[in-house]
Amino acid sequence: MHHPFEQSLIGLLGGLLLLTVFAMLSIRRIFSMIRIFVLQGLILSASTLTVGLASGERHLLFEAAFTFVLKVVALPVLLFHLIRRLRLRGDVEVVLNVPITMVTGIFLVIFSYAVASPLVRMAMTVSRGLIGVGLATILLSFLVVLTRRKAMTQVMGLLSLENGLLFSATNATYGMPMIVELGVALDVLVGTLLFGVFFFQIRDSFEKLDLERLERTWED
Amino acid sequence: MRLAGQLLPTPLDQADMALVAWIALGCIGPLLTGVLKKHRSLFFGCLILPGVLDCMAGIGLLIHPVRLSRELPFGLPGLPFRIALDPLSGFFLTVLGLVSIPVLLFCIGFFRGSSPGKTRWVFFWLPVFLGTMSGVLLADDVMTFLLFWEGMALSSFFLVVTDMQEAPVRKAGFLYLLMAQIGTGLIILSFFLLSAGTPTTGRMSSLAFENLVHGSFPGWVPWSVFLLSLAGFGAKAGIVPLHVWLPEAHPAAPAPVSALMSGLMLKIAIYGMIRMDIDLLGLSHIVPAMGVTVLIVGSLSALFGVLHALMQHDPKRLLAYHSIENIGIILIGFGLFLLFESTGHPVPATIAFSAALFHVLNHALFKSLLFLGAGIVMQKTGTHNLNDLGGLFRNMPATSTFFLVGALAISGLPPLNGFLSEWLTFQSALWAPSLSSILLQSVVVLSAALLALSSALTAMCFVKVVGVAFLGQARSIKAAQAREAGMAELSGMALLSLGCIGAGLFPFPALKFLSSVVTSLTGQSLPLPAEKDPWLWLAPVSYSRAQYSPLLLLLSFLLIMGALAFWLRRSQKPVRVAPTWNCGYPVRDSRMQDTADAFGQPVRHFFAPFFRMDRHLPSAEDDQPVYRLEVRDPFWASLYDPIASALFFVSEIVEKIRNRRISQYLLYSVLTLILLLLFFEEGP
Repeated sequence: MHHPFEQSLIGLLGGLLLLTVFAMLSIRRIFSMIRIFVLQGLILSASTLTVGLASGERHLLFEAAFTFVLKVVALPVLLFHLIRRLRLRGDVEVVLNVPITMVTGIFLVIFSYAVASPLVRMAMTVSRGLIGVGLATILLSFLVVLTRRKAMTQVMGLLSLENGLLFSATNATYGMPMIVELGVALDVLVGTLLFGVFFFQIRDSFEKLDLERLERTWED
Repeated sequence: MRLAGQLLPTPLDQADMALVAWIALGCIGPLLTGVLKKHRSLFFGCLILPGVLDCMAGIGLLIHPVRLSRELPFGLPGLPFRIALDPLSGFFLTVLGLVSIPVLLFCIGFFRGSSPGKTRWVFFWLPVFLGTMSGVLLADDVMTFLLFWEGMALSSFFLVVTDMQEAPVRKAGFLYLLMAQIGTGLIILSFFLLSAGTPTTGRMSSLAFENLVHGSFPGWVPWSVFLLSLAGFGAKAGIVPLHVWLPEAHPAAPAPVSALMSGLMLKIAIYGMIRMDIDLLGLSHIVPAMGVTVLIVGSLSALFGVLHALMQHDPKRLLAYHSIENIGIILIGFGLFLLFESTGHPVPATIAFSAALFHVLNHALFKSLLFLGAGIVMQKTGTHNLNDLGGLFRNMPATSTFFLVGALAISGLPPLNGFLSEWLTFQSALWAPSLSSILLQSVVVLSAALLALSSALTAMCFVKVVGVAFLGQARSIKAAQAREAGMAELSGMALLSLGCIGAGLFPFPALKFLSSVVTSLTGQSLPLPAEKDPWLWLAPVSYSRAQYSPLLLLLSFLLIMGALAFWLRRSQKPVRVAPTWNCGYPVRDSRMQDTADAFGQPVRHFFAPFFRMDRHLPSAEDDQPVYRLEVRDPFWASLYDPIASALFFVSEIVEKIRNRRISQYLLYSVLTLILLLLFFEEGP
């Protein structure tokens, strides 16, 4: 049960994943954000593949392929298409300034490692050391959602959150049952489509894709 | 006898039929309004029949005290509805039947000429109200009890807001609903505590009443159950300080509804209290301090109620405060029972208990009579203010006479029924010296003194009502032109008056019935010696201790009055008829009479701390002097207003947390997640 090469490879991929989320936190342009999301999907599918090879779990290989198709091909195409249709350009507005967000993110990573330590002791997987990374990805994605103002970028944060969940599941228990994963993936796809429709509606009603407008209408 | 028993339906069957009939009639009632356009009286006539059935069921059961129970064929899976009839519910069922019959009779006339919409409303809610009240009495498990209890609260709320076009009526209705829901919440809590103490069988059927009985509890449970039920049922019964809805809801509701609510629904709350404390919690868990608590609450309610009644000039508001007072009197009896029973004095305990139950019957009779009388006066004169009435004896002689009977009864004057129950309560309180502790003795004596004070003040209050409304000269044109009530209304009031007089003149059979209730709950029976003629003489314990003969009293009273009248007539000199001495006043008009507020003034002066007054006195130079007085319930300012403002304060803070920003909501969920993760880390 010793796979030193695979383990260090997974470790590297985990580190890269964390880096992409931090990149998402700090980046200002929406196109770059989607590119990073593509990168994230690539890393995720690679790490799933590696874990699958190292552990011999067949369904993880399927999952890696599936993740690749969905997150590296389908969703980005969809998102780029959306952006072109919506004619979104320019900078991403942030609620909190970037340095503060980054520092908060670092604290969140430390916190998730601390929280994950009992889980690490319980888990029996080859890649159990990376549960903390998965957890950190989840919390950091939350931070992305929190600090962005545009609906588009918030959706990006949610998608990255889902990636984090998948990564944690893979590393903690060799993934969820296949049927659950398929369901989740489908939900993400359908959810993105729905978000697209929703964005058009918001823009048509408020002429801006800014959720602040939406908030103000609630108050009336 | 056995054969007859097999042929006739059992009391439980009769009560069951009455319950189903009422609710069924309620459901078809609104459909019938179109058909019965000219014959609404027919519908109220149909509603009377279940009342008669309830009466028969209750009396039948009190004659042969047994416990009958049955599961209804419908209910929730694993949780069948159970109904039962025992002497306690039989007694209350009798009261329900006895009062519902005359009130429904009264309704025939009272709702004549009301709009079709209102008629449809009353046709639905009135029978449902009566049906759910009898359902509460019959319920034999927690679910059924709460179901009917809630049904009773809701149907009475809808009846209170019958005239919902008026804003004060809606406000009163919502206040009532709020208090009713708080009460129900407390009752559910106390049931919960009770059922937690029972050995769990793991099945839902353990919610049946008999499974709750005689559980063994940790020490704090009996007290909590007792206090929760006192507050929960007390909110419905109107004990101080949970009474605030009564003076608002009663003037808002139509008169027959007030009569039913005050006469019956408050008694259902008393029934719930007795059922919970004595039957379910069990006498073995009652300690003397609980009796003292009830005594104090009862005495305060009695005094507070009558003092505020004296200040009112809306007749129905006044009667509502008197309901608070009478609930206080009932609770004094109940408290004495708990106190004497838990200290091991069965004789005064049984007397106090039967006094409390007797007062339940008496108050139901005379209070509904008074509400009906006040309602018809207000309908005929169109005013809510006593100060606009006057001289009604001339125009409405029959109504006035019946009202006078009710007033005499509530004032506790012999030989009417109100006197008897208060006298019995005093008889029990006179055993105070047998209590061991000086503290308990003084509490009993003090509450007896407060009882005496409040019944004297009641008499004063009704001198005021009768004096201002029925005697003297009319203070408004409407009062001068008032016409006598119709036959239906009068017959309803006549029946209730007869009930008051009958229960006053023949207490022995009534006490005989009560005795079986007391026996079924405590195992002891009322001493009630029958050495002399029981129809003539009443002695609760022994003839040497105390005895009372209403018939002889009435006879001697009539003899003296007759002799006096005869003597006066004989010795009368010829009378010169001339205008009254007018001392140079050019005019004598009705405004020179004493007003209702004037009657209350000495009491207001003396008991000033009980009131919150807002008074405007005219100055000497004023051309158009105005005197205005507003007396408010002090509990609004000292208890309810602070609670309300605290609630608003808290909700404003909560409003800040909930500031409608999506990212902030997300922040809350992240923080919750982080907190949960922290908790997880601290776990194993």
